[in-house]
Amino acid sequence: MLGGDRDAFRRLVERESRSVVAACARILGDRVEAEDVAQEAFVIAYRSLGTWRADGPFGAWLARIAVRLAVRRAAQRKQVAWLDPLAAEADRPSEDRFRTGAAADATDPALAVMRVERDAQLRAAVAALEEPYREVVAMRFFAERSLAEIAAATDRPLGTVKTHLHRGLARLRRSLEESGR
Amino acid sequence: MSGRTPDWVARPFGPSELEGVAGLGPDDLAADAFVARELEALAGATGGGLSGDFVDRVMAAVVIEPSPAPARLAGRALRRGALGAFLASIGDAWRVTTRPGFPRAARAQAMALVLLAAGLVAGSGLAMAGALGLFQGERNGPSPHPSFVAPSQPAVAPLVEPSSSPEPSEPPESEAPAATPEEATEPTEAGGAQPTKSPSPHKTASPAATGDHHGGSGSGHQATPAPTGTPRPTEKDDDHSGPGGGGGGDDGEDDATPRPTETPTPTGTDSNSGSGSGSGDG
Repeated sequence: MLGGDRDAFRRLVERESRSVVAACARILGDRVEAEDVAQEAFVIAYRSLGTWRADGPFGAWLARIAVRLAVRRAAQRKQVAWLDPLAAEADRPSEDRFRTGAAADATDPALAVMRVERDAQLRAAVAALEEPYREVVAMRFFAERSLAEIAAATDRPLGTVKTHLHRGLARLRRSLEESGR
Repeated sequence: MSGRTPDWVARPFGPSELEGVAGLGPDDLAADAFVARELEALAGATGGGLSGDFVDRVMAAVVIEPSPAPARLAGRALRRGALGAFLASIGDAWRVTTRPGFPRAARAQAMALVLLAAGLVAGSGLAMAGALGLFQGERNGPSPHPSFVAPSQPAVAPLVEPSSSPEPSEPPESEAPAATPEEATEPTEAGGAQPTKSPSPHKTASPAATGDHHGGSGSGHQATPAPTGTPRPTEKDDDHSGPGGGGGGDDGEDDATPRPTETPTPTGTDSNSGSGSGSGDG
């Protein structure tokens, strides 16, 4: 696959596409735009296969590329899109809707609006974080990677990644408190 | 702020993840966990729905991309002996080198492969050009000056021409050996002319001068050119005595030869003696 075997790369795309698109959608708040960014991330990953050191999970390396692209795209458009909660729930599989319990929020328009507003604030606060805190927070909660995987993908010590996560969460809390006033 | 249940998240955040961070108290951990729940709620609200043709679209975009490791493909193609794959990898390397969006490491590898291929092509081209240049040099070198190089120094001409053939500054070098035979021919002509002129006139003139001195003394020398070829003094003395111009002859012969004065003594010449005797005492 590292030599450019496209069949092997296709299997990799099939395996990682869902998580990559989800991470991009959590950052951007728009599923169509998230798929565009995810496609660009896969192409960039294919170009950069020769540079992958294989010292960590390929999914974490790919997620880092996707998160960076999504954050850059969000910074370019200077606005955060609002998700349509009904459309989001319609796209989600039924078992996920059962697990999340979001169906109850969807039935109550007021709750749905509050949740969308809150998600928009949270997304904007993450996008406003400084590096490397933004990257660690986004990879941990949007790409759902463990701290060990983040440490391997970013080539940083695990203790440093933990410190960055703690500082990022603290700054997020302050930012949310300020915006909630 | 109200926390939300994170039970739908694949990796729920736990305070144990931040163990080891210096200066973290229980309050800090609780605050971090609260924000983490908010983020997990956002992640759970944005699920992983995916359009059906997403993979096909990604692969359609990947197919038009050059190979990410053209150097590796080139080596593999060379091992298999696949010339087409090798050329394709060279093309991929060129696209990786020239197109934007590729990482530096991949671009450096591709550029190295492109430079290597360009060097091989340039080297082979120079070798071919050198071989053709040698042939052309042998053709063009002798042709402008065939008469000079061939007869004079056939061994020197081939030594000069191979080095001079690829460079344009060689024609003057090829003319230099051609000029030397011309100069060599000129002295041969001059040497041939000198010996023909020098010997005859000077040698003939010197004995004539000696005869002039003697001829001044007597008119009989002009009538006899034969003694000019013979430098013998004895024959001259006989001639002077013969004509009878004794007084003049004696004056001119005082420094040269005393013997002619002795030669009249034989008295063979009766005319001279008879004239003298008859006039005096008879």
